[in-house]
Amino acid sequence: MNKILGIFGLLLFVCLFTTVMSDSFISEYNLYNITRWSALFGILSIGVAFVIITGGIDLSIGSVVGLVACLLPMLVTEYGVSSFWSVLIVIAVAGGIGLLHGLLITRLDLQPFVVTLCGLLFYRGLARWITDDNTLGFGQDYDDSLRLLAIGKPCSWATMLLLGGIILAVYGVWKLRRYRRQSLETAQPATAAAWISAWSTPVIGILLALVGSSRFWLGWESGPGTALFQMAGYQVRGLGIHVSAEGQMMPSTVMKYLGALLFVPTVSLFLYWGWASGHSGARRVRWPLVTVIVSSLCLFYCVWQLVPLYRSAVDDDVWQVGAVQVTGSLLKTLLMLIVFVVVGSVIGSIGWLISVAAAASPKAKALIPFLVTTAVMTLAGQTHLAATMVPMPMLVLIVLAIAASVFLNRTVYGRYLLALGRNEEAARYSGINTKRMIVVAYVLCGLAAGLGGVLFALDVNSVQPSGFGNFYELYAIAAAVLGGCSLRGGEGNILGVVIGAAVMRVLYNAINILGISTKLEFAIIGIVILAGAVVDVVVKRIVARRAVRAAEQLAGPTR
Amino acid sequence: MTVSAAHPVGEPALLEVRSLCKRFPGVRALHQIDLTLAAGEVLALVGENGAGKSTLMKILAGVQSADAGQILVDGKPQSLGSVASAMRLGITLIHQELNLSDNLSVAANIFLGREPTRFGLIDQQTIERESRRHLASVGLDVDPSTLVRDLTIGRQQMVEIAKALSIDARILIMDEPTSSLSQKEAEALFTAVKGLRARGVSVIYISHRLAEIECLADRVLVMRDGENAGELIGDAIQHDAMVSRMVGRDVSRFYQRTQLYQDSIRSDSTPSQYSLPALKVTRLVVPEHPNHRLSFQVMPGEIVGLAGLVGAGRTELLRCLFGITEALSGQVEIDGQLIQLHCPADAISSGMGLVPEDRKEQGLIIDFSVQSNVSLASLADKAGGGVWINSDAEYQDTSNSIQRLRIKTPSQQQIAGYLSGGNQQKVVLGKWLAMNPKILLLDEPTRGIDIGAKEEIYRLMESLAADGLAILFVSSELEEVIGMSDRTLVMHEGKLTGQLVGDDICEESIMNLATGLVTTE
Repeated sequence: MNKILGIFGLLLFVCLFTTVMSDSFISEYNLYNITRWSALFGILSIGVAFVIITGGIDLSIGSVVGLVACLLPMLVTEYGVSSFWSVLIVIAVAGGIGLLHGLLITRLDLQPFVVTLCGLLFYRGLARWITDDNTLGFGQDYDDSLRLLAIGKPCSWATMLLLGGIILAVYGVWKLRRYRRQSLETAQPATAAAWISAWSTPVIGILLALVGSSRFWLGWESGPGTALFQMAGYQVRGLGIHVSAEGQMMPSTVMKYLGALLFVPTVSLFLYWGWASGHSGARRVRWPLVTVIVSSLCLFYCVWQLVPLYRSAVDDDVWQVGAVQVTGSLLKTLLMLIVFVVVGSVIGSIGWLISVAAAASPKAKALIPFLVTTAVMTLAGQTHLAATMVPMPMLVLIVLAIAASVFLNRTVYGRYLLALGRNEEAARYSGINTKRMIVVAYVLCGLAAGLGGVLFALDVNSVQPSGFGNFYELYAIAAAVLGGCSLRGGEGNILGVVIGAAVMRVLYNAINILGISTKLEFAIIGIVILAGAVVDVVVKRIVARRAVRAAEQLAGPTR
Repeated sequence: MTVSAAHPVGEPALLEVRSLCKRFPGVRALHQIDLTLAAGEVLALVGENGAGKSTLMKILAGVQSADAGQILVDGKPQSLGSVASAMRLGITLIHQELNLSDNLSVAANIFLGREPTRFGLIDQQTIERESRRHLASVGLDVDPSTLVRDLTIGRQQMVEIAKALSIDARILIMDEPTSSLSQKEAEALFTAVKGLRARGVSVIYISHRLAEIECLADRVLVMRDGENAGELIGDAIQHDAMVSRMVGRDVSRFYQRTQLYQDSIRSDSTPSQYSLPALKVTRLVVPEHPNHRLSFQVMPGEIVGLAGLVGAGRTELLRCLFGITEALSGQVEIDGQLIQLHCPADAISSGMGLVPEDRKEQGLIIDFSVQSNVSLASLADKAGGGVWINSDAEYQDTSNSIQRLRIKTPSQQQIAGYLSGGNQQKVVLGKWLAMNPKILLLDEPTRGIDIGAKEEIYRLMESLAADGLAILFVSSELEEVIGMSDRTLVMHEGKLTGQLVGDDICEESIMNLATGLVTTE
């Protein structure tokens, strides 16, 4: 939970900073691109997360993506295999590669690093050899069918919110019933905190559904939708619903104001609970609260004063700041750094405040999901929800992420993976077939890389065997690590990994949009990941110290 | 503050501690602790886990700092701010887990971090010569160029002591030095400690094994709840005296079984239900000891102890029975059914549970919650459709275990690693109880846990046996084997050298069999 909030804070930070500095970040086109690329990398990251959870590593993902991306157009265009079978075959090949890795690692006791490093070299060479290093593509023929799998735009985010909201609300109500039944059985009085967290999910779901449906409030008519993709002879179409121009703007407006309206009482309640709990609550909350207020005032000043200055500055001009003359580019860099620090301290102090208040009061802690939702609603309402399209890979990612999350947290096998990642020997002593589970992890990783490779190939439509997918394994691993996977194994959650992948892409995008030299690209991404890792370690130490103290308190006065 | 009577008035003690206090948030770890140590004295520090021994020891070694109180070395107040400053004063701590680099040689370890150099290169000759001298002083006869990993644990410990002596340690603090030593190695250690005493080196000796303290210590300081709970000198150092001060009440010398298996079958009018052995092992060949065939059986409701020296093959036998290693040949029958053992899952599905020797590496997933640990083995059996985790059953099993085993934990979600050793061991037991096993294999079930928790484990073993479980347990503590077993099997170098029943189970007969002097089978 803390980890997800942390990485989410980082995402929010980068988004907020870029939005403040540039108008084009939240444009429909840019958001569509970011989500598309985030989704493509997110798919790879989920796969590698499973391997990392077992304490292994897969370095071959990029090359597998390259190989798959070469095989698919070859099968489709040169050998005339049907789209459906081609996709299935290449994903199966990738799964087979994962199986091979898993078997080599478990049966021959080879180190994952070595096996997959050799894979990285081998599949790259293989791809170049079978294609004779020629660039491959699908041509124009598949633009309206197979390629829609990657470049299709099935619906807008407003529709997505409507559907997601309904699903979340139904799930929330189901959980609420279960929670009530349990509290009846155990006959324990429900605490306020438990009550709040039980109700949060359905309420959030209803809110989102409300926002999504607001598009239709001013009237609508339906018609045939756009073609999505054609597969196995079926033409899949999107939703073709037309609403008035005013209606199109409704979701954003409703989201913005509904979010703000709910945020104010929620944050007041949150602070009150944090403040009023215990004798030390007020003392603990005071400083982060002051920091939030001060840094927010700085942010307002930045937005009113510095940002217009930044935007009006031209690189070649010379500016007079006080008594000093500076060039336009230097001024821009300085202003950017100032805003960067200010936005960072806003988000950082908010995180501090949340963690302090949550530690002080369980009621406040239970309120966090709702608080974060309303805050994000207020911010996300600034974008044009009904006009921003959901890329097809995003849908694939959402389905995959839910499936992966359920697998990891609700099934026996997921638990086994986490257990053997923490301590393989103890897992074996508990009767778990650890070798088989490790193989499963590598197969899942291979399948995800295969699926990712298919979507990447369809997305770009021009595959260069020598370079396609280079470094993708490192992006995927970085996203997984950012998202809370430990390379020592046994730790990880899918939501964090997906957000981690998004952070990587948003960073990348921000660097381009803000006109920062792309030569610095790798350096900046590297620093951000390192900072994330450092913060994670520091936070983990604090948490461990607290837990030890709590255990000591329990063990202390017993005798 | 008067100086303790343990040494002549006027001459300052080598080490003196005055009203030392240390608080952790919510816990009073040390409260007004006084302690004196004369040159050439062996002071034993005893107390249950959590009594404050390790905190005191860490403060003396400069790992932690005290909140209040004074530490005087040679009569002068000193602040032990760091390990280095403690070492300069001649105080060295030898950890329970040894701090040696096992990929380096003995000599390199002794001089690690302060290697003498010649022309900027390590002076190998001096290191070897000096090492040989230090090794000889602790009576260890090994070549200094031997790699540490090729030595037994006992010898590694000697290397650690030699290392401490090489930096002119005057006070050695030894934390549970014998916890992983065999009898023979422990005796060598005692000889070394006595040698140190003769040379004027003082030793603060911390151990759970009261028998060795009886024969080794000049003085015993008993701690309870962070306070001095009494001091024993000379002949007053006796097991019962120490224990009663440790727990604050009188206890019998050892846990007394209330019902023995032999009595229960005698009184039972219908012994037919117990006529089949729960576990029958026939001519089993364990891969580590391919020359010996092991045959024995354990009846339902019977507690069988497996005694022997370290390295006698007891752990290997249990591992083989549990399917972790595969037997070369032989048969294992459970309730008369011949079973195939290829992996632990086979053993578990036929009703076995193993509480392994190394709790932290093999028994528990230390940073999983109590609940996830308890449910780990039974997860698949209780899962919906064999796949979906049944969280209700998980919760139920865990709360049953917490109640039955009296696991002290704030919640089911507590990380297992934050529990005390005894409670961790109970979590491992809980994992198997959730499976309703027929046979429990316990490997050193009470290693490194305090007396209170030990007693609870013994009581539990007895009640499980009364419920009809067959229990086979390995223990290196003779009094535990003697006190707990209905029948004792003794092993020596991979061979089953004999079995003892009832009153025949005594220290002498076990040792005779364990050292291979006598064989009855």
